[in-house]
Amino acid sequence: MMDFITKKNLTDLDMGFVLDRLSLVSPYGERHRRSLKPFKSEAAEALDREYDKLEAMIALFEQRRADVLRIKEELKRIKLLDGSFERILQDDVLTETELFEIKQIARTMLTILELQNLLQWQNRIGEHQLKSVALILELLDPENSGTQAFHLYSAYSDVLCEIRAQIERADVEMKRYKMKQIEALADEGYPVQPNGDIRIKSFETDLLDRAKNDERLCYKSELPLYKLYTVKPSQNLTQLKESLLLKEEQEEYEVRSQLTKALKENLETLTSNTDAISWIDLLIAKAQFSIAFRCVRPVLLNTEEVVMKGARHIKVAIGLEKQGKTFTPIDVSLKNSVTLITGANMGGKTISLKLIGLMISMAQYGFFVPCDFLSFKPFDYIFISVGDFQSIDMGLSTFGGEIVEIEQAIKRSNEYGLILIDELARGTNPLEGYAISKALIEYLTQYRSKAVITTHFDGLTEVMHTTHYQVKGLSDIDLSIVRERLNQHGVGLLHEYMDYRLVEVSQTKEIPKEAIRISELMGLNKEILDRAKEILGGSNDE
Amino acid sequence: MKLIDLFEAQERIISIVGMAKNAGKTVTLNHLIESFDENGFRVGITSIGRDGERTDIVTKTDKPMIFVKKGTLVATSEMLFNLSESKMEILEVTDYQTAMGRVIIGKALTEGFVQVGGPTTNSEVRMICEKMCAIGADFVLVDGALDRTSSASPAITDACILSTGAVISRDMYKTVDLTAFKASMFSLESIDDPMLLSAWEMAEASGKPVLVESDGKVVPLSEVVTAIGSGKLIADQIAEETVAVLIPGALVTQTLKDVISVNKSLQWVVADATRLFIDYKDWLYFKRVGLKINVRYGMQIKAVTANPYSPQGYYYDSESFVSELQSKIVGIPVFDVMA
Repeated sequence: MMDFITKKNLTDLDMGFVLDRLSLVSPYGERHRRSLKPFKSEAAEALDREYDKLEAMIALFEQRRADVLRIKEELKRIKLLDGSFERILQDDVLTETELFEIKQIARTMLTILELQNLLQWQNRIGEHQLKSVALILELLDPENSGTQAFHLYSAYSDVLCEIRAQIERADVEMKRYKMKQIEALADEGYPVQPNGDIRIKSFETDLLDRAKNDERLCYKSELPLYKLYTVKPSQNLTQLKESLLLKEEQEEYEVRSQLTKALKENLETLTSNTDAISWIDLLIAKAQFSIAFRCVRPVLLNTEEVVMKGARHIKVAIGLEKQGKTFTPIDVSLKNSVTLITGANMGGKTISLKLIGLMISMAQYGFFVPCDFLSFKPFDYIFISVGDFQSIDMGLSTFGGEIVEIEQAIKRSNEYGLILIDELARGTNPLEGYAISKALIEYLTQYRSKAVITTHFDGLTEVMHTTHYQVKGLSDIDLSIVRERLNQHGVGLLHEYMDYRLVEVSQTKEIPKEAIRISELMGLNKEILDRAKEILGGSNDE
Repeated sequence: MKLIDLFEAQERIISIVGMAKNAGKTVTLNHLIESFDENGFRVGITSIGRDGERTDIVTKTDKPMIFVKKGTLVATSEMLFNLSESKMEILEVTDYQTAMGRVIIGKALTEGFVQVGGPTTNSEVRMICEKMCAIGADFVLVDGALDRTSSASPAITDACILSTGAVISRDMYKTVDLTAFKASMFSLESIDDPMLLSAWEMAEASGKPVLVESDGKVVPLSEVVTAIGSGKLIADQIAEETVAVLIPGALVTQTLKDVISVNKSLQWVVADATRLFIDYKDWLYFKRVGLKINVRYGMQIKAVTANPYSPQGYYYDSESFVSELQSKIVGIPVFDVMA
């Protein structure tokens, strides 16, 4: 099975630009973006369901914006816990921090679930409703405190509870013992402080000797002016406490081990919820994208035809907006196997070609499209040959590189593909280029796939069963006005007079001679211009 | 008066910075934790970089660990969190990474010793402190690590305590002088001239030094990216009308010297005292020639704590140390935390 589209072609079509504009806020959503799969031709039904879901999501977003945004806020709190989930599966024992994080994710899931219920998510969207996490929360909040905090609660085990009570008793006894010692020592004339420290000045040698030999005291530290002794804790009590602490640690390990086992039984809930979260995140982001870029739902057809109206290239449009200009929407229909786009250089042919590919790939990746209308039948693959692909590794020339890729694409003749080729054979001598192009177009007309080819070769449009579009260019404009404006403001304004719309023309219409028109506009010597027109006329007569 | 009496509700985040290692910073910290606890305040603790180890990693001297009370909030790295003797409840696992794992905010369920190793950048420290205040801390103490006086910056903490001690020099008077110098840097006055304030906004926004002329005109310096090593460039651009130099970045001795050779009467402004890198001798020289340095953001230096003992074994007389410090540091109370 061949790819739907290569990574390089996705880049050529600026799909990355579209994906980057999805505002995904959870690590699971982010991962979903990176592994997004297209719906191929055989998955047309699933694609239509995906559109249903997105349509429902957009409606939900528009009606309940604040609540949907609250879900998004909660999604931001989700952390990637796959490492811990894997450890649960491997029967490792989770650490306290990991247990805390699972409690936290479960609490967030509960909030999202409550918001979903509030929005009647299941009814309206139909999928990706989170499963109940009540059992997990019960497990990690045994005291039912309802707080985010976590520690190994005494409630987990009677043994742990008992050990901790013993530790507390030992602490009390140790304090009591110390107080008793302090009282006794004070009675014997030691300068003992409330915290049990005894500070003896260096010159009080008698007292120092006494302290040194007193078994109830231990040496603490020496400062230049005095020595510090402190009450020695009872050895029995200290040993008792240390053994209790050891027991506590062992029992805590046991508790963590039990908790991990119990979580293993609920692992499916957690992983299916993180999967649902990745979908929720993506769906909300797609809805926001659709609203922001005024996208429409594509209509899926059973017939092999593409109709596109008012299509906008959002990347180019954003670029133009920054310069205070607007993008001219494009209308185009692919009825025949081969559609040709002709027109002057800098007439936007390449953008139109890419735009067709981008709209179809967005649609097949489950997006709504920035058009006024789009209907199509899902393709098996998309191929675009654009720009230069001189392959340094293989030492091929520009043309050779182009041919290798095109050959790959047309080999899939039993599939329904969208084949987009920009300026075929532009790197070769015009005669050969024309011959090869014509042969390829004739070949492609026999197949199901839709090919769109931009070219400036005259005569290619005569091939039967092709549709022919022309960039409108400068044809309808009063040249004398333009000339005056250009004289005042410079050639840079030329593109403002270009009409980038595509117009369907009859097959035999020849390619407009924009170069002559532009030369005329720019004031080239009239004698030269007349001669050029004469030469052109002559060649047409041949 | 007690150290704790100095704290007011509006200064909730307090850094403790040491003049050097073993200046008594940790003793001050423990003293404050205990006093806050006795007075019924909930306190939060964090540090910039690692601190609170049993043995000081740099000088291998014994060092008291931080002793927390029940209910104290602690923000420390995951590894140190697990080493704490106090039983802790996890309140939040933050996204701030340290060499010893993520920073965790916990609450002590029992009293005991903890090791504190907080976030590594100033802005993260500020965020952690604010989180602890939001969780319920009345005061947050930030333990500043060696050479990290930047944690005293008013951008990070509301007030600071300067810890000094015999470790600085065998000569008590030298220690006193150096401490007084640091304290005077930390108490540099903030500017209130509206003309300079509005000029500062421009300097801060552009991140580049600017010159201010007597009529309030602001002249951005061309070709000066930061003020480090750019004294000559600044000097070249000083005009007769220039009255002030505003430096949003660091200001070093050489820059001042280069400019002073041209003009001694300029008013200098830096963001705060942690951006000044001038040593004691140069400071004395600048004061002698009448250099005027002010800060945009003033620091609240609450107290100076003094440790008369040095880990090398020598010591000062506590009373004379404190009284010498107090005579040189006017308006800031000095405490002996070891007494």
